[in-house]
Amino acid sequence: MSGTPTFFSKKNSRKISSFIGIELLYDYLAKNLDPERSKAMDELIAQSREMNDEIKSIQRSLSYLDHLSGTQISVTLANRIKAPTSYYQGFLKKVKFSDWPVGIKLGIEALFVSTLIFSSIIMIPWHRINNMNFTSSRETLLVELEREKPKIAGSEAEISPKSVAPESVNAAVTFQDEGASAKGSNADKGSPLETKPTAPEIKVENSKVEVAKSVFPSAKEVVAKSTPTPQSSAKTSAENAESKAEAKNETKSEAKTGTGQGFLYRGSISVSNLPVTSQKFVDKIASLGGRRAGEVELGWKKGGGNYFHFTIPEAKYETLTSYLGEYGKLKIQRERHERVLPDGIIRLIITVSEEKKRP
Amino acid sequence: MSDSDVKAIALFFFFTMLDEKRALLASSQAYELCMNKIDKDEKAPIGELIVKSTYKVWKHNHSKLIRGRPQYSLNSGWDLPPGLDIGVWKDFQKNASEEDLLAIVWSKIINISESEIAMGLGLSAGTIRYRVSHAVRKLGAFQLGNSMVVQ
Repeated sequence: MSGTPTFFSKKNSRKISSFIGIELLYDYLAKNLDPERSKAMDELIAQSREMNDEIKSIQRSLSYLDHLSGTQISVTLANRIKAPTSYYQGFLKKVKFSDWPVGIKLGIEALFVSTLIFSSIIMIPWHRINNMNFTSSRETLLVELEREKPKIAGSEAEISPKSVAPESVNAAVTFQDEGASAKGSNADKGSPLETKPTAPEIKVENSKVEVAKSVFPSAKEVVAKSTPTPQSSAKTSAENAESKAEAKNETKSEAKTGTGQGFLYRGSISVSNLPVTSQKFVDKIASLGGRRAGEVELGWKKGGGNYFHFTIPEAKYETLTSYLGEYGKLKIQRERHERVLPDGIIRLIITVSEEKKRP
Repeated sequence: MSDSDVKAIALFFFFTMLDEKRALLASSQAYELCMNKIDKDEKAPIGELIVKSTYKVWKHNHSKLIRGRPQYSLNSGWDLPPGLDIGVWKDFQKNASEEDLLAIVWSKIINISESEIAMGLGLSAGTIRYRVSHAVRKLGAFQLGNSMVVQ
């Protein structure tokens, strides 16, 4: 090992391998190598045919690249390249925005951003977002009305007491006869006790108003639009005013009756000579101001007896009972009933039967 | 920016893309970018700014580019030298690595010095010289019709 030359010493001649030589060949041709390496490359190139071929390839390549670099562009193309790519860039270039002072630039940008934000705030439909109502409907429900046909005479009828005189109320109200049928009655249809089909009926429950009229169709609900026509608006206003007025009257009537709890006086009496006695009872009740309450006339024949369903002033109650008691043993019970009558008026159902004769 | 600089930008994108429409669009973008850079730093070498601008636009557009499908016409504004065999360059543009392709165009076609290229890319001059050397030898191999010589 001591007699062999040191190939990695700078003092002695350095031999370059073909691999390193090829990598250094471009720098050798560009004269970027130091003289020592250039001398070593000269020796390698003189000995290696592969290196000569590589030099020719590089020179051919450089010549080709030099040829490529001679490519020209037309004036039109150069102008197109210089032209701005967008209208925004063109605008900025035209106004020379880049030459403006920095303060003005920032001010304009801040103004633009704030305008954009305020425009967004104004344009956003906040009321719809708050109500979560994204429909385009402009209908607004003002009031819900439920209209029903009034009950036909003979069926259960609801009539609210009015704040009028007891006599007139007594003549206006009607009741359902218990055990009596319309077929079997010979009631006078033209009697003042007959219910008029056009009488309105109003219930006030919470904030819901129900209106029933015989002249109205049986519509379930009426939706008033926010932009009604003048005629429909006037009609709706009139209906609302009527409903309010009648509801107010009814409220007053209920307040007048006190608790709202009604009573029915139900009794029976056995008399002798029923047809004659019954006629006397009819005359007495009429003289005391009594009025039939149901559909059947006073003294209506029911089974083996007579049926009296009537109203009478409460002040006449004692007189009536004492009169009836003269003809037999009168049994009367006071029952709670949902029907409420005006103050001073009571309702009675008395069954008069033939007294049984003892054998 | 002089006309030769505009020409340099145009040639860079033409030879790297070989697509006249994309090259025109990218050249316009690089020109605007380079103008902005000149406004910001007037003392910087123009070669360095061109490298920075073209490289940024290239990175932004090269993913849309399909290399190996040249799309240009003879009267599209790029006037190739007469007698030039562009087929060699087409093969090279299709197969060369991105580093080799960009380095050889900057260095040997639009003739920007290796030091300016190195400053523009933030690399050393030796790295650029190696890339150019490798690209030149590879192009020479394509000229011989044997691309396997230089790997």
